[in-house]
Amino acid sequence: MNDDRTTTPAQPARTRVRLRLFGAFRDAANGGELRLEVPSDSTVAHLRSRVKEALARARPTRSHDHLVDLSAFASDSAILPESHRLGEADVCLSILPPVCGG
Amino acid sequence: MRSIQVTMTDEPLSADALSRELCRDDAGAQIVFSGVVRNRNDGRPVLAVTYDAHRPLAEQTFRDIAEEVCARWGDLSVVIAHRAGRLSVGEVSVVIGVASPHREEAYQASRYVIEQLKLRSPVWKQEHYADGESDWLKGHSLRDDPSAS
Repeated sequence: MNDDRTTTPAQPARTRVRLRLFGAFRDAANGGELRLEVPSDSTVAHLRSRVKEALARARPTRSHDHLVDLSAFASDSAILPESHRLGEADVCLSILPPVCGG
Repeated sequence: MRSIQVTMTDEPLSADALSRELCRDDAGAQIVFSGVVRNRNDGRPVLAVTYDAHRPLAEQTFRDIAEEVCARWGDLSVVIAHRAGRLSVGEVSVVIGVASPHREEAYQASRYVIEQLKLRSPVWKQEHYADGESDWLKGHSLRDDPSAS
């Protein structure tokens, strides 16, 4: 018996990331946040490259690459290591440039 | 007795009010440090400073620092309050209060809190200058290894 159902390759899962901006990043995108979509197996290191691309599109006349390299990524409760995987659930994270409180 | 209070607030800070929070019968020493917006930085006249903060993480960091103080110098009373928003010259940006039985640990703990707060707290400063320009100040990276990228 022929099976004429077409099989399409499974699409890799995607995770939507709402990234809150602080300090010097606030002027880089309207509304103080970026919205990105990345493969669900992405690490923080991968997200970092995607943020550079997004900021380059948002502000093509000014590179934020060095500032992104110096920045940490965080949830509302902890700073995330580079190897942290985002997972499949949509997330709200923050990018934290170098700090200078007090 | 250990006592820790931390806050990141839009409201003006009062060293006097914070000092009252520190009163306890076994404390022979009480130190209240205030950080104040000054009118000049690197030779440029400053009119105001805007403080931006990741509030939940900032308060968690203040709490962590206060816990470290108690682990190192005993069960002290520690209050850390930091201001957010735009502050004019002369306004108080941060208040740190420490109460302890003796002055030595109060001095050391107070100094430890402000130095660690500057290094670790997710807080950012934008200076507004007399010539109309504004700049976000450079600071300390929170990445474990910022040279890795």
